[in-house]
Amino acid sequence: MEIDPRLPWPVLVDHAWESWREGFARAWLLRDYPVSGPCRCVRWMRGMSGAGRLEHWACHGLLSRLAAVRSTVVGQLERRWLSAPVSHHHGGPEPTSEPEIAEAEAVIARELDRLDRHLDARLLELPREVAALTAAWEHDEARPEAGLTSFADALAGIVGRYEDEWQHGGTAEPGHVAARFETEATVRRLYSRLGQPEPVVLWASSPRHAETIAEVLLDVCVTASAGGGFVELGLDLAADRHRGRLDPQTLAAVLEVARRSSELAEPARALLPVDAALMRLEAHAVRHLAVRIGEPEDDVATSFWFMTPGDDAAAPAESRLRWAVERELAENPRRERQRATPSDDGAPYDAISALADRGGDELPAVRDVAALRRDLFAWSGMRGAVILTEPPETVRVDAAGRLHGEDDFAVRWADGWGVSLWHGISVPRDLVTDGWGVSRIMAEPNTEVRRCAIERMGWPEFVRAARLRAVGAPAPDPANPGHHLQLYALPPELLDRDRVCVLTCTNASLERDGSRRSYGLFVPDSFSSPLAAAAWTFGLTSEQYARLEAAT
Amino acid sequence: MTTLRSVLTRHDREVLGHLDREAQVPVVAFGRQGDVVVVADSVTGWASTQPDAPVPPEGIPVVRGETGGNTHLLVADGGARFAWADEGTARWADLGPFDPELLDVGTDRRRIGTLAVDPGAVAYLIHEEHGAIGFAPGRYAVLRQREFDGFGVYDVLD
Repeated sequence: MEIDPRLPWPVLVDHAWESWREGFARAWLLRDYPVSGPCRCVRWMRGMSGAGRLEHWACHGLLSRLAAVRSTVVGQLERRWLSAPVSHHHGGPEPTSEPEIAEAEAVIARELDRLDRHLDARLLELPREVAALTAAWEHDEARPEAGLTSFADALAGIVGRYEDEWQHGGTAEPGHVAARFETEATVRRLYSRLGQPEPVVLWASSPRHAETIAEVLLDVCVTASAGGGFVELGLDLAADRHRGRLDPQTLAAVLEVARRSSELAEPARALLPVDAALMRLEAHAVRHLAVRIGEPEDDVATSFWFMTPGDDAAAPAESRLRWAVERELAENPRRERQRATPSDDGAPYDAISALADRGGDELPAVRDVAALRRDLFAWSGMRGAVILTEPPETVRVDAAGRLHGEDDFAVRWADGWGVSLWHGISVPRDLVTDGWGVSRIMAEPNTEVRRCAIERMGWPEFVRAARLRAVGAPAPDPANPGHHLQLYALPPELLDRDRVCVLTCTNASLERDGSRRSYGLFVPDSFSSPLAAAAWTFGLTSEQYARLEAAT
Repeated sequence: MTTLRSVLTRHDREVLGHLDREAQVPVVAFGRQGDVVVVADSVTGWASTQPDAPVPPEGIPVVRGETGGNTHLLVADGGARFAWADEGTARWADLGPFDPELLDVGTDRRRIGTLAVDPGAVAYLIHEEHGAIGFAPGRYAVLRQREFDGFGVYDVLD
């Protein structure tokens, strides 16, 4: 918001407040803090008077310590502040005396120093509380009388309380906030190494959220650049259009990207990927690594680009997950949202980190990329903005390490979005949550998904329900008294497989809940009895297998 | 005969809580534990090569689940030896294309390795969901269960 310097003081203060609060909110939402030092603040302080300015200063000073990042937005506001003429006695509050100012400055400086020591935690709550303090103070009738010192006291009170909480193990969860903070620092560092201006950081709580952000971002940037000189009008319209789709914080950040991009000669460039710069950097890193570790460049490049993980199992799981997410986004536009329980997730990108380690400290950008790949599900770097997608909260796998959710999402993000996989195969959610009946199974065109649905139902149930043709008579399961092996012919069109039968068996061991698990195994269709088919699965003849003495 | 509890105690292993610790552990010449079969040459008439590496006190995971959940661990009371099957013959079926000739019974078994249990000794296969099963003195083939899905032959993933 533009401030008209000709306005009288009270109006000016109101405008300034609004403007500052907007700047505060924006700066906060963007995690984009000014770095002006205390000296500058004190200079303002001396050059200004009135409670409104003090509040500005106090919060501004606080923010300046919360992160060492320059904010264009707040920077502009600062310049407006400094260029706005100050009228001392225009019905506004009385100026505070010089000694009082000095005293309060000292108190506030001390408290802010104490804050510095605790910045790893409570990053979100603290400024909110200070903002509430200043807001309350703004509306306090007694404000002019209370003067500067009462504000300093109140600030000291807040800081003291937070210090106590930190020292005695507060109840907040700063880990998440701190992790985000660290990731943002990594992004900024990386952009700076790529010679790119600092991007606006957009956090996505899930791939679905990231996709929505990207859609809105594109639309808003196009609107902003298409409106001729009427950028703000275009942004307002775009904001109205998308208000329901994104939370206010993210929407504000998206608008900021558009606002910045509108200042560029070619606004669309803000959305160009930084990949080109990144790829150059990575190519350089690969060459560098190859020389350093004395291995052929091609080999290094292969492990670098494909990020071969240390654990063989993780790579296919990882790519399957990404594929499942793509599919989910494409086929199921909206999902019902549910809360999830947290769980830890492995870091599949050890190899790239290992490469960076072997390259030593000379490849800091590679390290940054490795850190982003490790800590995020995805990151989309554009010139003006970066979308960071949080890793999933819950990842479930089967005994073979394949992504597998027995009765719900196999992978779930904090905002409730997730993807369903059955033993590594991407499936619709209701297949796992409710299970499909025979008619729904037969209506499914994808035979892999059909197989998953049958497994979810259980082969013994399915062969009965679908009335499959039995091959040979049921045979007693060797060493598994009371249970039988049965063989059924599979119609080729069922799973699009020729020459296959399914052998239904029952586990010899009880499950945890006391039940007995039944399952189906695929076997060639060359057997005339279930026993011969079961023997084949171990490479034995039916005569041999019939002599089995014990099964568990 | 011995109980599951004593086998687990001797070899410092645990299995899932619902398995009966007082159940007798069978000692046999031919047993199946889930998707693994251990069968004596005396049953099959095969002539397995004598293995020479002793089964160490910590055991040998003849099948190891990716997440540790489906591990079949081989341990022994007394002398026992184990040799992994030659990779070339053991692995061919993992992801191989369908070849009808390979389906001939008896020629394409998925052999994990060979076990020899000394006279007076007992080898045990321990699995957290299946408990334990014992094997008497003799020479054994350790086999993995497999499937044919119409395209190829694969290990059964329990």
